[in-house]
Parts: sequence; structure tokens; C-alpha cells
Amino acid sequence: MCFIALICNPEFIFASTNLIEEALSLESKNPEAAENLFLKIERTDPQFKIVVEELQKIFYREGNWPRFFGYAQYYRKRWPIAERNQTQFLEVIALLRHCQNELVSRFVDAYKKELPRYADKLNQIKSLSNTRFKGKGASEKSVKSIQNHFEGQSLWPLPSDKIAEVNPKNLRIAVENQCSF
Amino acid sequence: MIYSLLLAAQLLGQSSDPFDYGNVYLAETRDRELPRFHLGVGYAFNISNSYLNLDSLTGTAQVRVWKYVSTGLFGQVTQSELSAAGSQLRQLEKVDLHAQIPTPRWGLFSLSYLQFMLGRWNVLNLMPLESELLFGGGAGVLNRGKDTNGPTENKFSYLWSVEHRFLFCERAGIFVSLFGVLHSTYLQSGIHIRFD
Repeated sequence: MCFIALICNPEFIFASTNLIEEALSLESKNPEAAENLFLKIERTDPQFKIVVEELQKIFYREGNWPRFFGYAQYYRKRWPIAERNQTQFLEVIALLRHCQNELVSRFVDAYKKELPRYADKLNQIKSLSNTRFKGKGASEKSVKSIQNHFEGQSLWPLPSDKIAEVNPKNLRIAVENQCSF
Repeated sequence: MIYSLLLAAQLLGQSSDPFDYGNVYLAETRDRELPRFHLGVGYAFNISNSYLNLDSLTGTAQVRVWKYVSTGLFGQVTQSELSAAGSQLRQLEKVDLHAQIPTPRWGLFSLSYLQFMLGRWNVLNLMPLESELLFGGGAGVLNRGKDTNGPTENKFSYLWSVEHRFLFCERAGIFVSLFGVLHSTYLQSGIHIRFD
């Protein structure tokens, strides 16, 4: 597909590469501007995987959990494990910060089977799930239906199996923060 | 009722993937095409025949042929009885005045729909509601008795329909429609299911 796109319209690839480079350079200084640049890249773009990886990092840093989990689940569902990089572990860490211990354990066990070279890191994550420490619980930023309504945003329930079919910039996933401290 | 439908939709929508979690939302309104396949069953009563009370059981199956156009079949089975006016007309037989009252029995029609208008709301972001207005037309066979107890005949008949569908959950909802066949107009309501 990338090859066909390059033959038909080489500017298409170079334009998105420039956008990504610009966004990457802005990411540490001005994450909001970087986010806006990343959002301009279409999901049919061959480099969209990089966009999804970088946006996960941005939303994780911002603590924008509904959007982070949207991109994280999209990333996991769209690309097979062999094509994903270590960014996928951010999802497990974010779940850890929401004290979703059962899910963390399930993810860690699955990743250990598929990616044994990361077994030590994954074991650390699992052991942290049983530990209480300051700063573990994520800051509260969840999907609030009525608040979104008054902000003029319409939220539509979406079956999980449709996640990979929609544009991830419109995904919001509400995950309950089960940390009690 | 509505909440039961919503609950059923949520249960239907739940995935069995052990790595799915959270409540997933799509934060936008988007263009929605007609479903790939659509089924409906309903009850219709006649609003244009003075001499007969006609109650019908109806069924329709539609297949999308283009984004906003679908085509399919519409069937109708009708039970009839004389109305008060019809009974009085029959009384005139005592004075040797005979009137024939054609009585529909069943009909089978082709029916094509054009989706005319679509509205989607999420009431307070808590109750999704979708509404479609469709105009339809077709033709087919109407089987009817020449008189209430007379022999039956198959007549060619047109069919027109104006249908308003409501979706209370992702795949199912209710509809209300007005449709007409040869010499009769019906008001119909029923339930429908869509398969995308």
C-alpha cells in the first residue's frame, strides 16, 4: 500500500513525514501544538502508526485518560503485537494507575508469553499493582456524559469490536479509577 | 421499555475479548447509511374503508442497494369484519339491495425506500435516539374477495409508504408508517431490526 501511494503521489508521503517531524520536534516544548499537527494526519496514512504511538505518549503525560485509552485500545486492535513497540506497555501502566489490578495481571501474563524478553519489566509492573504508594493513582479526568453534553459534544456508545474501524481521535474510553487512596 | 431495550443493546454489544475494558464512546455525529439488511413486523389498521374494519399483520425485508436506497419485499395478511356502516349496508339486502364490498385478504409487494431525513440525538448524552424518515413505493399482487364472502381474485396493486423509524438502541427500534394499496390506506406500527 505504501509503495502504491509513493508511486501515485510521492508528495503524499513527504507531506505527512514533514508534519510528523515538525510535531515530534514540538512534542516536548508545546505538546498541544504537536497534538494538533498529529491529528491532521489521516488514519490511511502509512505513517499513522507513529502518530498513534506519539499521541498515546502526549495524552498519557496530560493525564487525558479517556483519549489515551481510546488510542491505546485502537493501537492494540489495529496492529498485531509484532508490529507494536514498547508504547503498548503504557496501556498496562495506565491501567495500573487506575488500580485495575485484574486487567493488569491479565495483560502482563499475555505479554510475558508473547514478549518474554520484557518479562522482568512486566513482573515489576505486576508487583506494583499490589503496592500502595504516593502518586500511583491517576488524576481524575474521566468521561462525564452530561458535562460533555453541555460542552456541545455528543457521545455515542460504541461496541468494542468497532474500535479499529473508527477514527481514534473520536474515541473516548471511560475507565473506572479503582484506587481508594 | 426503552431502558430494557438499551440494556439489551448493551448486553448484545458486549465483547467477549478478555482485553476489552471501559465504556467506549464515539465523540461525534456521523453520517449513517441505511442498514445492509432490515427486517420489520407490524400491525396495521385501515383508515380509509368505511364498510370494513381491516386489521393486518405485516412484514418487510429490505436490502440496501445504495447508501440511502433499499429495496425488498412487503407482505400483508388481513383479517376483515364489517364495520357499523357495512352492517347497515348489509341490512339493505332485506329490501333486495345488494352491494359488493371488496375485501382484501393478503398482498405481496415489492417495496423500495429512499431515506429522506435522518436525525440522531443523544438525549443528555444518556439515551441515544435515532430517527429516520423514509419514502417508499412499489407494486405487487393484492388478493381480495370480490365481496365479503365472495370468491377471491388477484389484482395488480401499487404500494406507497411513508415510514418513520426510531432506533432506541443500536440495532432495534419501533416504526410508524402510513401506507396505501389499491382502494385502502393503513396506519401501521411495529418493531424493526437492522443488520449492518
